[in-house]
Amino acid sequence: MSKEKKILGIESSHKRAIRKLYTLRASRFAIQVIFLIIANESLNLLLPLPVIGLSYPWTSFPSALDMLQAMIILLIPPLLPLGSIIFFNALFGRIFCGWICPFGFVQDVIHYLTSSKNFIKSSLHSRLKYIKYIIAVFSILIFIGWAYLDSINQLNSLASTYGRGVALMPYTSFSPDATLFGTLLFIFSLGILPNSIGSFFSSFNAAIFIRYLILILVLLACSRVTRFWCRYVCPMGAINATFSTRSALGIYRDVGKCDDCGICNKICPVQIDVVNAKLGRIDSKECIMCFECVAACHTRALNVTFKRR
Amino acid sequence: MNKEWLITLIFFFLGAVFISSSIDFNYFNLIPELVKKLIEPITQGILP
Repeated sequence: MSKEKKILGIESSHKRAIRKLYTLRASRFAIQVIFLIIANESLNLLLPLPVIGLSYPWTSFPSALDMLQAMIILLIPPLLPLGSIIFFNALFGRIFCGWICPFGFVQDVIHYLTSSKNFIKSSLHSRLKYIKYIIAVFSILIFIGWAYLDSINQLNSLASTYGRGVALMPYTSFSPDATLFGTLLFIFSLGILPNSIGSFFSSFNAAIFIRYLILILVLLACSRVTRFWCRYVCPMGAINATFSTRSALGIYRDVGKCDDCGICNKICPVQIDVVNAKLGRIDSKECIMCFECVAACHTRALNVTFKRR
Repeated sequence: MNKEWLITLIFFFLGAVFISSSIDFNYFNLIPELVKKLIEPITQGILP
């Protein structure tokens, strides 16, 4: 093959990869919007959209972690949330994080608007990514502790000291997704903003201040580092990661086809070292299955498959 | 059988057993009650 033809061939494969990447992004965006609408009853009230919700004030269904928390604290075996987490992660990996999670979608929008960085110093990233596992373990220990207090009827005294919200659902009280999609969407959807601001200041307490502060800090961090919440903080992501280490669906790298261009590493929103993937499989614990690396690969060296090599 | 597939299948069946048990125990009917509990921390201090 002449040099010109070779260059033309590379150019056309790059163009094809870019087209695939934009198609994938558009599809993922559409699916994320659909799940955002389905998951948030408030959006239906706000827009209003012809979506069947379950008629709760702001949300159509809670996250598995919220359910896990509620069931543990109320001394109900958390079989439903735990079963869903294990089942779906064993099959599809962390596809929930990449395609379904409404807070993940918000982070993606922030990334497109602010061009946040995909990369931070590797040594720092490799240490920070374990924080979410510590938070997950700590959260579950708190749920168990609260369940013990519930069993000895001490939860009410905790409620009188720290407020009913913190006493009943400690994780939901401080999670930024609950503040964003619960509190704020709820306020806007019901059109009670002026009253809410008044009541907000009149009943201002430390818990509310911390809740808003966490949301602002997380959104700011997401504007600096892509998917900051998913990478380093989210306990739901950590639990998903634990059960998706051997997921049936995976991204595999064909070493023979790969020309080590490194575009996959550059495009990955969670900073996975795709080029140096061990045994050809991409790190499925950290991978949020957005498939951007697969679409961007101009040599088609990356594949999404159930097959193992 | 590949060891990786074995682990996947164990997780898959464990998840399926948990979900089917929750159907047996009628946990799906508990969801509305649990969601009501979850409303409290989110609307605390917001609603008049």
